[in-house]
Amino acid sequence: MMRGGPGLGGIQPSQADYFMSTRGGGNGDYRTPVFAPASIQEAVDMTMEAFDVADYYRTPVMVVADGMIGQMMEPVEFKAPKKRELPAKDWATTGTKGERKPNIINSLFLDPQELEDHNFKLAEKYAKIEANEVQYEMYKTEDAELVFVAYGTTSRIVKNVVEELRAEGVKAGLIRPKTIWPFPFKAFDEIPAVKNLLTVEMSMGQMLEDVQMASNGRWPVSFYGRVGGMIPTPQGIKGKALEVIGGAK
Amino acid sequence: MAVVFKKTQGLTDAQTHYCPGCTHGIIHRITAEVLEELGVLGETIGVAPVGCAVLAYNYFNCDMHEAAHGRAPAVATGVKRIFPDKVVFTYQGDGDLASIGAAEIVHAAARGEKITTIFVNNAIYGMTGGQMAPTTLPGQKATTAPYGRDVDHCGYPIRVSEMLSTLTGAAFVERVSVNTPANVRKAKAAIKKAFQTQLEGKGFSIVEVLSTCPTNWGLHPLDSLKWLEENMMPYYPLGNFRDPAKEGEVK
Repeated sequence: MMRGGPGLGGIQPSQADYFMSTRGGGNGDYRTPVFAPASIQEAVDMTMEAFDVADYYRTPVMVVADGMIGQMMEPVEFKAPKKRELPAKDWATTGTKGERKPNIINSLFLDPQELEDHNFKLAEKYAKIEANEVQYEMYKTEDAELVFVAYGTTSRIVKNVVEELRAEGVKAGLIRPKTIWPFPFKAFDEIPAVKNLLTVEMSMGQMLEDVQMASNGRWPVSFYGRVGGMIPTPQGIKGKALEVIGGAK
Repeated sequence: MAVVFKKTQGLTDAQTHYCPGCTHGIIHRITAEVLEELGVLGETIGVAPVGCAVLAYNYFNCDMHEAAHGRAPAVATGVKRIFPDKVVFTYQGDGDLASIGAAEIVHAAARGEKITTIFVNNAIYGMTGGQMAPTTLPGQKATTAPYGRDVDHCGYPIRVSEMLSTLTGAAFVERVSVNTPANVRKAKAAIKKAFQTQLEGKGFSIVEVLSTCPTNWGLHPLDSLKWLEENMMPYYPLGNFRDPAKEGEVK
């Protein structure tokens, strides 16, 4: 659950740990799949799926939500989890029973060549996760000229803004990453009418960097953020949106 | 020809990397012998520390984990709670256990985790090159205390066994040494009791083993054994601090 920072910060909602969760706080070349729920239902579903992803790829997985999700109450249905064929655990330390060689679980590779090979092996795993595990929602993007990018609670506020703007004749839409790593770069190939991207976050602009990479110079990328536990209002977001499309004229 | 001695099945055939005269080898062997004698080797999962014994996972002939610095009791807790019927142990040095891992060992003991810790105390950081540890004796020289540990500046060494024995969850706590054949035998007996405590589900068990570090103490292996007896034993008295067999006895 992300709260306002840095340091002890505060205890109100934030999305300022995007870097920490998608870039990692540990040493070495590693990646961690990160789910970003936008509702309590999704938090439940994603938590179930996170265990399977962790099991399937043998990797830590994060479910990262803004503090709003952590403090909210919503009705939840505990559905049967999506079925996934999980691999055998022949590596597990279950006791040899004297019938097999000991299993050793470690991450220590003192020989640089061995460690490089290990990194290459991990990179293959991360490529597989990037190819297979990305999740996102496209909301009214088919004809959207202004495409918001937002996740978590912020995406729900943005959806209201999309509706308001559409009522006023502005063709707005939303890309909502449900996994923030792997980031849904391919979603940006599915927005044929886009003229402007507007990233909205409860941070000083962290996912923004992924959106800029996704745009890769194709469209202007703008940013609107509130921090420290302040939650973006529909009015604030809408004001920024009008400024952005005004600037695009 | 009759076999009069055989290496324990509890150790692999890997050649250890320990320095000449280091007592890790003895402690490995008696731990492995105990696991073999209790007939639990095939049901045992060990957790190695960071430090000199980091490669212990190559030496013990059972399933092994390596944990991050000081975190062995946390990893062992996870393993034991998934497999309550298995035998789970950590093997940790004083740099690992008494410094960065102080919180883990205290809380594993407080929770009464049914794991066994073999705690090797040689009063110094070995692997990293002889720095002062939380267990370094007052006045003892270390690379980071070239004039000897100054208690005014660095405080006092931690007596881990005494500290843990105040916790109700720590069912078996004993300090032993491996400086003489007699003490090696006593150490092995304590290690066996510690594992039995776990097998009987009575709580956390730890054996603190006073050990030598000839390399970083700058002493001949034999002089190291003498130094241990003359300097470590007065500060770290041998003996049992907690034993479920003795609980409830009038003292």
